[in-house]
Amino acid sequence: MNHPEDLLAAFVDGTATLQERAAVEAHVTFCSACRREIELARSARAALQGLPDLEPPPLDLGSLAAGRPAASAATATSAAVPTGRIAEPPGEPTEPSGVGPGRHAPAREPARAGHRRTPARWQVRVVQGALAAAAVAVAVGVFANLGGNSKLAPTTGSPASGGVRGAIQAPAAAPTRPTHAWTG
Amino acid sequence: MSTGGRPGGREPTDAELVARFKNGDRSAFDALVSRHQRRVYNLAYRMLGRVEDARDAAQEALLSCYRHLGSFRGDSAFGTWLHRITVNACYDSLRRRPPDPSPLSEVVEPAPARDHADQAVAAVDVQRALLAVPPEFRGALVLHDIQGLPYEDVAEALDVPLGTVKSRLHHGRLALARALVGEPPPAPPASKAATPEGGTQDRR
Repeated sequence: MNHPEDLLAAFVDGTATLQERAAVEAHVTFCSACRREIELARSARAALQGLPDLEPPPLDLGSLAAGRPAASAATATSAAVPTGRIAEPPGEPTEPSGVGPGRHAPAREPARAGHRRTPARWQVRVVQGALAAAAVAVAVGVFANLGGNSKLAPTTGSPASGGVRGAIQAPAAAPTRPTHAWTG
Repeated sequence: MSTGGRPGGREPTDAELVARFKNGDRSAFDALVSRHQRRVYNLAYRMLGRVEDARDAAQEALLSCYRHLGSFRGDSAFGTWLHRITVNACYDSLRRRPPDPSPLSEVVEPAPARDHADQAVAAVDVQRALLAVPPEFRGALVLHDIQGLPYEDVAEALDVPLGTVKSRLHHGRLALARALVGEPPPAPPASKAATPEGGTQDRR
């Protein structure tokens, strides 16, 4: 018997085409094995869909913040994330470990007054995440206002955007800075 | 996974944040992390079943994302790409530390974000059954049935053809359903259902 096995996932998901659906329905009228499989698959799918979304623990991206200048994407992306545990993809160069967090970042970030959290920890916390999102929203709001008033649309990647962003981020920096503690 | 801002909202899209990051705006990566870390962690937890392993894998995935974001070309959505990185981090974790069958009974479901007693009790059993599903199948189940990715994105995240996704989904669901009722999988001899390489063959 030719079981339409390749159609059963989509059949269970309800994403099969009309023809596929008809083929499966015709088949299961005489194939109890496939009928049973569809039942099982449906129960499994329902069980999985009932799983709760879990709150992540604080993620320690510690060394992420170390050893990279703030304004250089090139440096940032090629410079290391030196953590011995990290398994590099084959062929990817790994910088040696040993850039200890906690010393470099403050020097780059003079505007740290009012910091709630010691920068040495650099942990991403969910609360921080929410605040960061809010901070982004604030920054974007400032963008939008400025764009509306002066027609300086903050097009990402345009030559002007760096200057615009630099000008805009100054006022936004005070409230948002603490939310980015982990980036140093 | 959201690959863009909210409709009509002012949140930057993932693509915009990636572009900002490439232009030197490090805070754009913070925003990407805060937006995606929950899904990254949940994917890792469902794949690995242990909070510590999931946290480690999530951290590794985000660090790897950071390292490679500069060369991310945007052929796929950032979210899909991040899923792929996370899945690979999970497979690495499984290779380093293959689950041994005995601790499966010790799976402890962390307190769910949306607290509901009945749901949490059942979730423990489902998670335990999920860990009995061969990892290749498990990846498809977690990405599609739990995280809701469409087949195409699952195919990209797992780097397999669409047909393989559907096959793995179906067989993964069968394996899960059988594990849920305590039925041993109809596996070939010497099967070790939960080893990383153990479940590649699509059996039937």
